[in-house]
Amino acid sequence: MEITLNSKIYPLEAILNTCYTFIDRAYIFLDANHRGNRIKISLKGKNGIPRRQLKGLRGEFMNELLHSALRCAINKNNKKIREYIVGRALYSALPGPDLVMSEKTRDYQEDPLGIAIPWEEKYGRKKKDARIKV
Amino acid sequence: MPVLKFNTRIYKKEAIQETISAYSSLAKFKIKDAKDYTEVKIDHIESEFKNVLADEFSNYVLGMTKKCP
Repeated sequence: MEITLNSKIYPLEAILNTCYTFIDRAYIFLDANHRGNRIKISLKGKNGIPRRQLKGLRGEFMNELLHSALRCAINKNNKKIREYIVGRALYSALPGPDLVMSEKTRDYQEDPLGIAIPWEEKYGRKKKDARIKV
Repeated sequence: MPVLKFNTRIYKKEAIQETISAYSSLAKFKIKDAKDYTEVKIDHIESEFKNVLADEFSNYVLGMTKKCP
């Protein structure tokens, strides 16, 4: 079974996506004319499916193609706003200028949390007679 | 000896090459560039897969074309 499509109506991306959806049910082969505006799809049912079922597959394929074409159009139309939202989200996750400056001016030798002080110096040695008598 | 002609407007050459390397244990493949097409000649197909190999091969190329950036 063959289907010929106008690539101005159905973009190649939508056609490829649809074909990929049907790859488990049919053998699919694509070809284009020399100008690239007509795309021919050859569908061959797997495991010798009956002719009637193949017609149903064609209908399903065309519906999925419409769905995919619409998704591509929405994707294309919303590209800028999507990029803006992601850019904004990433920008807001960056540390503010105050934090960056304080990180730069701080010296590693200052040790404000006292993590460089040894345990013994900080808490003292354990007393020997501090054992619990039973 | 089946010959598959993949239109260069649709199928990517990298996808064809990747498919050939995936199917190399099942048959012998020869790739040739022609005008608007990449031709793949399939030879010495394992007898078990003779009926389906060409079709499965083209499906695999299609899948790889979609996956290739």
